[in-house]
Amino acid sequence: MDETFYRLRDASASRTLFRPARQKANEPLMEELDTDVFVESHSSVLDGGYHRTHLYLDGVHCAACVWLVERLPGDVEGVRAAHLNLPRARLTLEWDPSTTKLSDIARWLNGFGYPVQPRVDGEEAPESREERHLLIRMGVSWALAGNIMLLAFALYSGLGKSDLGLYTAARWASLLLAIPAILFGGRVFFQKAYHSIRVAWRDRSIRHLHMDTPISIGILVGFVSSAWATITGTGDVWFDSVAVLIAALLSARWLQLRARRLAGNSTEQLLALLPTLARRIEPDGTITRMRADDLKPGDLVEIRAGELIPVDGNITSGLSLINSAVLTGESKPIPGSTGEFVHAGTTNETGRIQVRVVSSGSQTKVGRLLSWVADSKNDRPRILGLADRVGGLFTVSILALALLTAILWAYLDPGNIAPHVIALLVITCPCALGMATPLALAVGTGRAARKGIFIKSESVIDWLNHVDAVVLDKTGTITVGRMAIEHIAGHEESVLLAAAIESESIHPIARAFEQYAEGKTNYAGSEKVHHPGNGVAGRVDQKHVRVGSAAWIGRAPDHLKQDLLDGIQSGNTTVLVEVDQIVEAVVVISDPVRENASMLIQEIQESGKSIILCSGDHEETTARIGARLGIPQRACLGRHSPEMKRDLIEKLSGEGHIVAMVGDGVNDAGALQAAHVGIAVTDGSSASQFAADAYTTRAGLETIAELFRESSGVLRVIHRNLGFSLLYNVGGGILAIAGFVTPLVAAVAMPVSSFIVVLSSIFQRTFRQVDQTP
Amino acid sequence: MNILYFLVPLALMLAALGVWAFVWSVKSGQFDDVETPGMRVLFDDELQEPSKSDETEQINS
Repeated sequence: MDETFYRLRDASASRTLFRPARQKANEPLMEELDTDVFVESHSSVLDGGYHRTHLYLDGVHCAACVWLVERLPGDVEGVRAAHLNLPRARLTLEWDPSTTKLSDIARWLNGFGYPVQPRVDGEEAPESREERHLLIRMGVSWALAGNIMLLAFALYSGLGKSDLGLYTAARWASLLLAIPAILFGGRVFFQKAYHSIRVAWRDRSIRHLHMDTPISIGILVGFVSSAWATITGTGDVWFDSVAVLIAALLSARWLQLRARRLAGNSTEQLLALLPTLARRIEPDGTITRMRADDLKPGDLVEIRAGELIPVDGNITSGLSLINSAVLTGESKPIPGSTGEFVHAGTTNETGRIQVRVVSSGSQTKVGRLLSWVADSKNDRPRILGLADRVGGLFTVSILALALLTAILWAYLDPGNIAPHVIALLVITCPCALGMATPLALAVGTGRAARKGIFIKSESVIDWLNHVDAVVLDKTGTITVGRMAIEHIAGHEESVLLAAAIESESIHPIARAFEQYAEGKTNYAGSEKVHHPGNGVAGRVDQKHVRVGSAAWIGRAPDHLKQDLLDGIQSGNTTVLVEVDQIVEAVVVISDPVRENASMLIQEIQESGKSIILCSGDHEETTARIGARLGIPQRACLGRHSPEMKRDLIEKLSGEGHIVAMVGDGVNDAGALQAAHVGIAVTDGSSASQFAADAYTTRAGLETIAELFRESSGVLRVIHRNLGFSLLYNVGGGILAIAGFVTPLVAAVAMPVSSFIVVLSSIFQRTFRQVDQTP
Repeated sequence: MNILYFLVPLALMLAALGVWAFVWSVKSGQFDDVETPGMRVLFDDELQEPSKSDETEQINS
């Protein structure tokens, strides 16, 4: 537009995490945007007939994007205001339906490479409401803690030594401030502690006690004894320690929640996979637009070229190529004609077809797969963090220590039992311990996100360090997912001639030729004759050209014999090119392996994990790729359907393995979900991203290797934090048993220990930014 | 020191005012996005003709 764009382009640190822009508008979505149903359910009406609508955009990532998107009111008539929220990629629009259409706005945005996502939800999303509440809780707790600290330090430095009235007043003021801090701020911990105690009681197992239990004990004992001391006018008060503890722990939780939001986790994303609108052909031949979910078995729908098929059903008329990459991972489209069964979610590529509905909505194959993914997401047992797992043990040990202290002081000085036990319980309250894990994880996942690796739940980091079996999907994960010419022996010019007769064919081999010849030649083929299963013959530039298998073409000349043999032995598709009865070239075609695949596999194997290659492709192809990457023959499994992949994962975990699954596409969604850690790689469909525990948006496989490497780094930081916190608690416990802990000691020691944990987490050296050129 | 009986409650009242302002700002969504508004400051309200501003500068100098 103008130079402002370039000035602003680098205004923020580059966050290269989003998919490249798709320039072609998503037509079905455009139509959906303009339906009254959509506008009504997603807009609020403002004065003057204006509507306010929230849209989610892909590809917004910097200041220049904000600037560009917010030019909308000046460029599109009928738009009054446009506000972009960059971290959430949410655009808030105020527009007039009488002068403009929502699809026009979406098209404008699409033109600049910001496609509108079909995911829409209200402003009051549950996550953002939860985050706001926690932020308020945290802010209020800090304000109360700050004021209590001011009063406490006045008391420590001798306020009221001579004036009993001021002394009492300061203690009462602290009590009044501490009450809301406990009730409002501390409630989070009490609720969780109460819940975990109930579960532990039911199961008769202390292992279910959550870390919040000792925290709650510390807070309650500190508060109740201080309140008693205030009312009776004798004894120590611990209000400051308790209030700071609550505020610090809430801060750690808020940071954790914020970091988790970066990865996003919305079920709505799943809907993007199935078209929401369909064209039903009425008995009288007219066409009605309607919601795909409302279609009934037996209905007839029309699907135009380039559209997604909205239902499972049989083709009744028309001829087209159906691409089911989304279901099977197979990137080659299959011809579909009358009688053929087609699945919802697949793409009708070339012709107009009519389909008799067999099932629609959640009854379709994709629908069932997705609902299964969505269901088991919620059922999955929560894996407790490392700190939470020791919660029960911790509770029992400090209670034992408290008993020990009581017995010890009953002998030494029976009058001072209570103060010493209280001091012990307050000083061993696991503040630093409670912060150790969430802080380290929040910083680690936040950094990973900045590098295009999104980790959805923190347990991923933990699991990744225990993984001993890695299942890799082949097509699209290890390989690029497209056929390409790998090697040419002989005369290269003849390959260009061959490309001319192979053009306009949809066969994957033909596409490889086409891609190779693109921009190199303007030969035109004629008299093309396809010999199914063998090859193609035709006339180019007055020459008779044949391309096909060695068996069909015949003998190769001596100088090409070795190349032909090598090609066939490598297991790749090998074809001969013949020009005017003379074999000119041997062409080897394969689905190329991603550049860094062997590096990744070597790294994983060196770290002692076993690798299994699992693909929907032929056994031979799978085995060949595996051999090239150094994966043992028996670990290369071909012809695995999505269900078989899932069963394989379940079998492995049943045998006691901790399994990580790396894949893309919907066909892997079930397996990603079933694995302990599911990692979806770039270009993945939204369903696999949803099913996965972590996903990357950067091309290539190095992110996966990085994820494995760096998660052990994050775990080390967690261990460091936990080690230090335990040391602090043990030290504090010993001092308390010996009777040296006063409120002043606790007030200094507790924040210092927490601060060390904070610093240790912030300055961790994981997921380091390497020099990136955008 | 009796002035403290007046000053401490006064300070607490001021603090309460601050807390109220904080709660209001969170509820009205001001902390939902702390990144974009900072960038928005950089944008010109209206696009200026580059040649025009050059002329003005020359006249001024």
